[in-house]
Amino acid sequence: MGDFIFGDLRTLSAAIAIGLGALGPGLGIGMLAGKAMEALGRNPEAEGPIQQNMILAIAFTEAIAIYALVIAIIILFVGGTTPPASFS
Amino acid sequence: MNKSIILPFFLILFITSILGGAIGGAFPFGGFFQSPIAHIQLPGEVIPGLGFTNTSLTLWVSMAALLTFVFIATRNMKSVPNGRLQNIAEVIVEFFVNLAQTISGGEKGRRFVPLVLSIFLCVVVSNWVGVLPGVGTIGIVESAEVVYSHKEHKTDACHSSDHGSDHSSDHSKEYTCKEALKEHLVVFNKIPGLGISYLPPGRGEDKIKNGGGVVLVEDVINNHGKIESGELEGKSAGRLLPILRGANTDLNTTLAIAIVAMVAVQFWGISALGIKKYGGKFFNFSSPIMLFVGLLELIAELARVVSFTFRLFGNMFAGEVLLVAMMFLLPFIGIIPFMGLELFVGVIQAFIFSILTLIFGITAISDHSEH
Repeated sequence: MGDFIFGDLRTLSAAIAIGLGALGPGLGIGMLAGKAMEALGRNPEAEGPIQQNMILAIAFTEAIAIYALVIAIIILFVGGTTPPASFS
Repeated sequence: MNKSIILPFFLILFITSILGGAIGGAFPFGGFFQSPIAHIQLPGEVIPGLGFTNTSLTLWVSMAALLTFVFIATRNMKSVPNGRLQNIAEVIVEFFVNLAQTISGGEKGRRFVPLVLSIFLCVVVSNWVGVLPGVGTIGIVESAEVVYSHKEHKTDACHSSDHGSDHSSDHSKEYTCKEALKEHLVVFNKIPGLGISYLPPGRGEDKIKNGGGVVLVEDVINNHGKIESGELEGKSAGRLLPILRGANTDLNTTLAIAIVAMVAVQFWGISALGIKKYGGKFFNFSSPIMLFVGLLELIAELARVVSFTFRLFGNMFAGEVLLVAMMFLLPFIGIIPFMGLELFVGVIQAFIFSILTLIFGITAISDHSEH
């Protein structure tokens, strides 16, 4: 019973960590890209600076999703004493 | 290439890889290209013969590649370059010098260019070397005993079993750590003359007789009564330790580059403003609110090290895991778009790292009281 609870809880917590953690950055990147498209439509000549700044801001936002992914991977592969659901 | 042959070719390849991969493995007629999923491990593995990790070895290989490129590009330099390598090098250098001058608004951006360019080149070359074929797939097969001792040392539940036993003879070692016994080992085929094991495609019905099956560590014990050899009738059972693994998939490498970048930012700030003015940004005693803001800025400086580290590490490690999972699911064709994605992400992450270092450096040398 202990194995069942803790094995499944670990897999579940990793899934929740990355699932919820990807919500915010997904929304953020979408909004960023939308605003960048808008600005590009208004002023097509400023494509260079707009594109560079957009890529920079997207990298910042995506880093938050990467933190959530790293925590999920650590929970699955490093933490705890019981193994999670095994492969193959 | 005849155009009408490309589409049917890829269609046949796609169907073959679906049927042959893990999805087709659930059906009795499929699974002929299947292989067991590779063992994914977070820290870099120490190579047994040498003293260092496989990620360090890959970092040196990528440094050697980068130094060779730079050496060839700067040999016989001409004012108007007619060699292609010198042209490429000039494009990269000019891009970063222009960027530094544009963002900082003048000539003072040039002092950042050496470190920023070095960070970009080091990170992009080590990311790309991590995607090459052979990296992560060629290595040393660890025997069952070694796999058992890895897991035994790391697991809390197993520590109590070893302390009471006598260390006088290794032959009477008790394998009581339940969890380490359940570790999965892959069965390789051995070429008898050389010491080479390889993993044949396809998952056999009899997982011990044919290669490519997966056994548990305790199966190896039960088959022979001893765990040391790991030999199963001309096969070898073990786990692959890759001899090369992408350098930025190790947390140590990215932490090192992040620390170098942040220490350089502090150095630029102190050398441009003097230590009193630069320290005054963080410890601002004019009012309690400014003191609080200054302390928050100090914490933000430290948080930048963490953010640099995890951004690069997360992207590269997740890319590696993604490639492994795709090789498992769709053997030949699934990995093609993800290789392209890995190349793109490698360049973007290197660019982000270097641009952020540049921006932090420019912020550090700026003097706010001049407005």
